[in-house]
Amino acid sequence: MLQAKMRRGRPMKLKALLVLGVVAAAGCGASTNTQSTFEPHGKIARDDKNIFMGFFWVAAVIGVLICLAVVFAAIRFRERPGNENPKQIHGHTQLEIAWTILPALILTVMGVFTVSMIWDQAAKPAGAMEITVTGKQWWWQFQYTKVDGQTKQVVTANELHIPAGKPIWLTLKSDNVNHSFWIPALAGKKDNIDGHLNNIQMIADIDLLKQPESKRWFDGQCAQYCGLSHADMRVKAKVDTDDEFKTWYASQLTSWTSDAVAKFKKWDDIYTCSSCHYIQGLAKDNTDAKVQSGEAPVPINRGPNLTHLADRTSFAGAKYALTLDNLTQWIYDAQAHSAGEFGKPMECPNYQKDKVLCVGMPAFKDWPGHKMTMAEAKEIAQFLLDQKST
Amino acid sequence: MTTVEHSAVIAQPRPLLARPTKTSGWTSWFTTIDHKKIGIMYGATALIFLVAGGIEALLIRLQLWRPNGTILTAATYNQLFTMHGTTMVFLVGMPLAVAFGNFLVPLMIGARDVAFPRINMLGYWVFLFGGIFLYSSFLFGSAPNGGWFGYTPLTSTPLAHGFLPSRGPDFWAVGLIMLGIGSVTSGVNFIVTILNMRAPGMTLLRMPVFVWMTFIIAMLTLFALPPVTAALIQVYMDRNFGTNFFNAAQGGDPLLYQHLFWLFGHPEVYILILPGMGIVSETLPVFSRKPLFGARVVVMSGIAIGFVGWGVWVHHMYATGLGPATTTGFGIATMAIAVPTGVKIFNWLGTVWGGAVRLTTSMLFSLGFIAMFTLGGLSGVMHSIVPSNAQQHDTYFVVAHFHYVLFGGLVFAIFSGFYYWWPKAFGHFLSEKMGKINFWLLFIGFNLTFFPMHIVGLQGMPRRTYTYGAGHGWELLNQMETVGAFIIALSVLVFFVNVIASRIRNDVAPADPWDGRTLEWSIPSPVPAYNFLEIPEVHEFDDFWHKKYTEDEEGRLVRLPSGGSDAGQHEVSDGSHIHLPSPSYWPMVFALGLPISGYGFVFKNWLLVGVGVAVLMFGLTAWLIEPDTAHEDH
Amino acid sequence: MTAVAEEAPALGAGHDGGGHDGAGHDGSDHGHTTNTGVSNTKLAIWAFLSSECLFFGSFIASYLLYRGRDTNFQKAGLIKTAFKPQELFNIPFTSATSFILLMSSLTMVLALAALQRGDERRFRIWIASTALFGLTFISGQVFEFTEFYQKGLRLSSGTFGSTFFVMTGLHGAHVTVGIFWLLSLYQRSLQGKLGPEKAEAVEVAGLYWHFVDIVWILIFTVVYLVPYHK
Repeated sequence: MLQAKMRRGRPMKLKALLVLGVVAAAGCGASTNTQSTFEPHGKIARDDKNIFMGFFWVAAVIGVLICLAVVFAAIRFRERPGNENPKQIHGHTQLEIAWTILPALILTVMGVFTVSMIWDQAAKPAGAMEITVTGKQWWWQFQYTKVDGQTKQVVTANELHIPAGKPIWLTLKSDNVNHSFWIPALAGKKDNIDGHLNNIQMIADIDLLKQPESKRWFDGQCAQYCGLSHADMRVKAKVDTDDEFKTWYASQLTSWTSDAVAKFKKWDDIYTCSSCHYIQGLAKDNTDAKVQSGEAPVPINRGPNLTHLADRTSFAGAKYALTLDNLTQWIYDAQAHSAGEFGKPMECPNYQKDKVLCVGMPAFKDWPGHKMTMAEAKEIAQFLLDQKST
Repeated sequence: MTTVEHSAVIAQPRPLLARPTKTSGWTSWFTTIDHKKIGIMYGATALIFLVAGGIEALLIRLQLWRPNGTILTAATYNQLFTMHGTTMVFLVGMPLAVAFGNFLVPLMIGARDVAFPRINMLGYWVFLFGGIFLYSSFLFGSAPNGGWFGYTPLTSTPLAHGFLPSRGPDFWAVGLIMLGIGSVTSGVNFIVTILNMRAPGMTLLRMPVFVWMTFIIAMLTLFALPPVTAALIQVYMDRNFGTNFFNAAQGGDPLLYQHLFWLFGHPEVYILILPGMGIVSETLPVFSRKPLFGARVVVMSGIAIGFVGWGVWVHHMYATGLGPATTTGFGIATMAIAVPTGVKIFNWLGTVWGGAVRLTTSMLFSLGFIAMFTLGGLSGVMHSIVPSNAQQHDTYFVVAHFHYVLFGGLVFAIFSGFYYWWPKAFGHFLSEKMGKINFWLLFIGFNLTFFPMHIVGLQGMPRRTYTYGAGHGWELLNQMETVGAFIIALSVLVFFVNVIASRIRNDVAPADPWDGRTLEWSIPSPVPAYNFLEIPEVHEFDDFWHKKYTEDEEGRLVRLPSGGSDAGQHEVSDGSHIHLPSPSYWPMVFALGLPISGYGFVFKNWLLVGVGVAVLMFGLTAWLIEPDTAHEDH
Repeated sequence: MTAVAEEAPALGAGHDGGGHDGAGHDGSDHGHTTNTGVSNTKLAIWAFLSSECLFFGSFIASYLLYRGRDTNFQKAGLIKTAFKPQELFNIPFTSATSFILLMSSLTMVLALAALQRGDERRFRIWIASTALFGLTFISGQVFEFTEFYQKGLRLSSGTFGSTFFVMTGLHGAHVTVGIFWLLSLYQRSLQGKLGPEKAEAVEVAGLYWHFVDIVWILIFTVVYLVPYHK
């Protein structure tokens, strides 16, 4: 069919079809894409989409008209006997003025809407819940710094929990390369840049509460190239009911039981898990209090908080589903399952001494002195999954 | 030669080697300082790099054929997308502009050569060696992998810290500094040539629009490259000497890099697209047999774009959190630049409107340019809507946008230029039949590849990702894109077959095959070394056209009986009395010093740096003391 | 080295003179006129220097962005040591070398004037003085760098060390290239190949030399003279 059109020399119709295609794709987007800007479920994302669609239609009309004009001119004014020597028109001042002013007017209208929305989105909503988002290579850390006047901080990774309808104020930062935090269904993206603090407003639709829990999960992804595993640096957001959120928040403040800590200690002694991962209850000295007051010391931030791993649905930059099998494989040989070593070498304490092994999330099957067996990996994975609090 | 000049030659220092004299045969290409040959070399080399960049694109598309693809590793993928971008911008786009500029500017302004033929030659060799230097990084397993934009601190953090596990960013930074040197030299050369060497009577406003656009890109090159050169030096120093320009822990600011880079990067976009605008401003009037509608307005809007282009760089940085005041200002500037761009599009349409349109291959590409560039321009305007930009930034929507501008725009215009000026450069036509296959395949393949990217981007697919998960509904669109990419490859292949077949067939072209309007059509095809037997005198815009045609009272075209369409063929002289400077070896030697030093800098081998500088100084000295002309001439 | 390489094309242009490379325009007419009335070589060096403005502008902008930042970072406890530029600088010393560099612009003007008069001997005296003054400035810079290094300032010392050394170092490299350029003119004059008719080659070198001086005035003001907050 396309071929036939081509032979009639009317290529531009193809584009008109494609333009309609984009609209169709937008329209029938009621699929299951949880990462689409076409299916907003938050105020900011909806505003972004509305202003986009408004001017998309203006642009589409202009685009189609110009393309049709090109095709029309090419056919209508084709050289044929009698018109070889057309009238020589050198220009037309009124026309020039017209097609300077008209676009300028359209752009002015666009500018007015744009500018008001820029300022609208930049403001910090009153009484917002505050969460700090740190981009890591290649996962996300969330610190809940202000929740209903609570001062105790919750530190978690890769899965953001927010209550529906409540304004959220995200503070974005990085202690390494640039990242960009983006959950399309909830809000537009902004970069995490070392030395800078950026902010995003986020308000999930209250309507979402009518949906079952499984329909309140949204996907996102790092949008700024951040090195080897950039594509694996994903993120999930769960929109909670008030009760769900309160329960979840409270659960994240709890420690492992002393039995659990004792059991894990024997693995920790060999594999030094806690030199990069925070485990509430296992950490020495005053660390737990420090973490909850927001002064988390650097080393325990190298890897995600493992205390409540079992409460999450995914791991490794939200790339893998949290199943016993996946987790076992990861612990046994993380490097075989990721594009590169997770984590960055400079933060690994033994990097300078032993460049081969201690790089980010190591392959514990090759751990010096004590090579991990698959059975052992499975035991650790099972143990971690057992520490479910909710 | 007069005796005075002869004695002047003798007064020159003794050269290291006699200046080469051969101006034909394959070896002459290494020493030529003829702007036409250098232009052709720029074009040919850029096309080879186009193939390299194209192969990288095909591999990228194969990897993205399906979710969780395994054809490439993440490490390789990151190298490929970095090199694809770097290649297409620095080794294809800019050199093609220089290729056309080199070949055409002296012909269009009625000059015998550019102002500095040997510096022109230097620019080419720096480009070639710089390109080879960049690609040689693959041999060291150190292909650049920080993106063509090379954001810090990813690229600037020392190797030992392992953000990027290779010397890729060093190759990238050093290579681009090198290519920048070449670009600045050609920029200076164009500016001087255009300002100083116009034929008598060719005032600035009588210059062809293509020459105007070349002038504007030369100015942009001159002012845009220094900031990025500074930024690249800072990246290199940070990586290798522990400076803290972009190290936030020691007070540096990674955003400084982004400002310096985009202060270059946005004018760079116009450096890439303005030659395309110049080309279609030449072809559309010829194939419509009407003057360029509002020629002065087209020139003025080009200048306006050149100026406003300096005030929009932050629209690449909306996501970096510069605050609402800054984004507002740059958002409005970005909207403003759409106005002169729109004016150009309408004027091109006005040129075709009411004309006698000949749908040659060149014209098809030019018409395709208007349509595709318009679409790219419109999606560009949408980026100025800062809030929705937060959803589009760094997604495939942006990839779609700039490919519509730079592929739909620049590449279509470049092909239009190839088909249009091929007879002038080589004396024979390219096959129109194959040309039309070339066009339609490219048109279909291009739209099939890049249109779906708009959609997949808005559906949430970020750029620069070596893989994507299943379940977001991106699979079908990605497959369309991959098929489209191979159709584009097929189209380019048809072009190359056309080039070879047409050369064999040798459909000889007259001096003025298209009934052209500008001076280059007044001289024989292919153009003799001296260009013009006599420097022409110019009386108006489109001077050559007005020698052939006049207008009756109603403004209709009337052919003058004594029209000079075959001017240049009358000439009896073979031009041997015209003295041209001899070819030279030394600019190439000079250029060779740069990559040698470059390897030294990458591998921190200061001896090698010294050797490179020595070669460079040797080339320079020999260059400076060589005489104007080979002694054999006398 | 990058800075050196950047210069090279302009160097070439300068030595070539409009009469040589410019011959491409019309070989039979060495003394051709140009559309603008400015010779090709001179227009080229102007264009090149305008490009250089942005090159140094970028480094000066980087310096200004980071000016005083180390001290602030140290106060905020983000970095351990911060060098206070006002404690490192020996303003009288640097003022003296800066003055010498400024004087070299004067001798450059005198050299050109001498050559235009046809006084090749005076030309050589003045051009040699210019080079000597430049060399004095560079020696001062080397001394200053050594001094700072001994006081512990490194390329890696916060942002001050980085921006200071890289910016002034690149300027120093430009001056060094200029000195070589001047010396090559001196040598050509000695060989009798630089008569009054070649005065433009000197003028072009002079333009470059003045430019480098002006850049130093800017750098000196921004880096040394404008007071730092305590």
